[in-house]
Amino acid sequence: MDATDQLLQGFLNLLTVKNLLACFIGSLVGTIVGVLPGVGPAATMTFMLPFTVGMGPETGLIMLTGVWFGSQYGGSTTSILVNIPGEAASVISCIDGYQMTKKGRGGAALAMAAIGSFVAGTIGIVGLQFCAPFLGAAALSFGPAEYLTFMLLAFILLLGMAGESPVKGMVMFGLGFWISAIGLSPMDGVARFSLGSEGLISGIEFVPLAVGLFGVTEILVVSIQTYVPPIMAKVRLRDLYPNRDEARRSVAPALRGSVTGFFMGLLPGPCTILSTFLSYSLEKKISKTPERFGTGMIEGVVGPESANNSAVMGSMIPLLALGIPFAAPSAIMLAGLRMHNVLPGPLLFTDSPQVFWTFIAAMYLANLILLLLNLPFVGLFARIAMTRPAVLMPFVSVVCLVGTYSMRNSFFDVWVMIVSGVVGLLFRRWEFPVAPLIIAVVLGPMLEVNLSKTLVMFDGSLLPVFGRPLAAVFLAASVMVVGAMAWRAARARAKRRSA
Amino acid sequence: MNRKWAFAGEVLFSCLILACGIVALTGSVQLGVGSLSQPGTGLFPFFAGLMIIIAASMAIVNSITGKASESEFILKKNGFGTLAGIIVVFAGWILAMPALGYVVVTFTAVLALAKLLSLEGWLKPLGLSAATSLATYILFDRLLYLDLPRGLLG
Repeated sequence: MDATDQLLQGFLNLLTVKNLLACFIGSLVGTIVGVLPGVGPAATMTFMLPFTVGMGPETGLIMLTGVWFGSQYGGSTTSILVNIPGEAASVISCIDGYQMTKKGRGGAALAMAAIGSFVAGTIGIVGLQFCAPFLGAAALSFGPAEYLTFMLLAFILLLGMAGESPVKGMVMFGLGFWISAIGLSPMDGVARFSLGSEGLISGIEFVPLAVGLFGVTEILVVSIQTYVPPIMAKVRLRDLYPNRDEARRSVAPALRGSVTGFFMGLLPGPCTILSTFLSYSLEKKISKTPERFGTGMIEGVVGPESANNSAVMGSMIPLLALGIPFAAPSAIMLAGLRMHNVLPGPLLFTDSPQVFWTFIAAMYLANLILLLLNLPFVGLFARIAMTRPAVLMPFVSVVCLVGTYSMRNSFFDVWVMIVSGVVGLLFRRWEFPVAPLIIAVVLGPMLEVNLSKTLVMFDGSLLPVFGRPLAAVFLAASVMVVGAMAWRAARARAKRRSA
Repeated sequence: MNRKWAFAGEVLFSCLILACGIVALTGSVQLGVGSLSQPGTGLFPFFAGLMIIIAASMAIVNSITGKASESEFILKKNGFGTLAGIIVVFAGWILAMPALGYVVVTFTAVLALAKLLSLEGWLKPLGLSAATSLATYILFDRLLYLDLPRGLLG
């Protein structure tokens, strides 16, 4: 079967009432939760993971896909209407989006952002559809040494993008690897750091940890802060029509954003966030009126919004082809895939092609559903963002508690969730990034197995790794990145001294 | 929180992480690190512990020599009380569940959370509690067929 036939088969698999409903509910819930300020795709997906347990692999993954896309779409609504970003990737949309709202063009900004996201999403899915199997086939030649060095490169790149403090990122990687080592060793089945507790012998489950670090932390942060009700601009259906000039000016930024976002998605790190900044600066640089950026330019909204949607698709490629997530939402998606006994990696395309192609079909559908949902109901979604924490947080708390419990009917998991939530609050307070920890927890066992295999294979020496061309390239790239980071740090220090 | 406390808190928190690293490292040695050609059960957590110790030490030095992280939180009056209250409610939800069952415990927990978060009056909190406990019960127990605890009341 060629790719077109397989995609058609994917659509046929999708066309059941159960799957269509899962796609719709996932997209809807994703948008609703994504609209809430501060709750990004990772948190939204962790809220929904437990719901997908009883649904089976295809339906569960379809719902998670809808949730991921929905939360990405929802983030822009409050950025444009209230100047409060729904998630980090929508921060940049506040600049010109809110200015457009102040000028009475908020509806047009929302509509063009939704259409741009749809275009970018579609372009991204096409890219994913063609690139992922190709990379997967190439990755079939990967041995433990290649996986080990590739993961090393990814971790170093992630550290480089850990913002102001790569040191804190490194702390979180270390903690994540340690947490992943708790429980039975994947090599010889010996219990590690279990303290005689039955719950710890089977290891710390990913879902309670993620729900705690993202969901419970968010509940605690919102609950202890002073609530300032946002002032929201009203958007009517007729306000959503962009004028001819706005529509014309949006075409090129949407296409440029789609391409830059897709390639940014292939890089480790917070690709959706970085892609929006890159797209915004690109639009500003090539504009004939760069001085007007920040005063309500539609290019400054459509470009970044398209870029962050396309970046999601790009980030799926390493996840599906190699089984290696480069960002927190991908790590949660990987946990979802594993929960349903679907193992992403090179063999996914040969062993379970129906899962991959149904997944692709679900993406096309979720993208379309979101466009149809976001345009007419944007006012309704915006109003959800106005819900007071006193009403919202008790409900979200119960979803976290019961969702985590229902994974294995285990109260131990709920304790893990609560402790993770409190520790997550401390991480947030002292600016320790949570994404590296989550990625390390997911990749820890894979890293350990590949490290051990490589060491045994090469009799304890890593020098023979240089004899393997791909592994040598990954190692050389790692060294170059470390060198670049050191050079950048030294330059920044010198600049501070001279200032 | 003033700057002095923020600084002390950051250093203390980093020290706590450093202690975790030491626990990981010593635990790994006890498990058996093995050799590079014959890796033992403790080799991977040993590297993890080493990474934590090195990075946490650097974080402590950075905290002492640099400036403390700015707090993004605007704490409300009695914010710590609310925080403690929420944690107690969560713990109570776990402890009371086997005896009282899902619906009763969830109803009480939502009511307590709503009052902790200052939802005014009694009608709204009671309505929210009833709606949340019933809706999640129907969703998880009836629609998703997940077996929620019934408690001693059956």
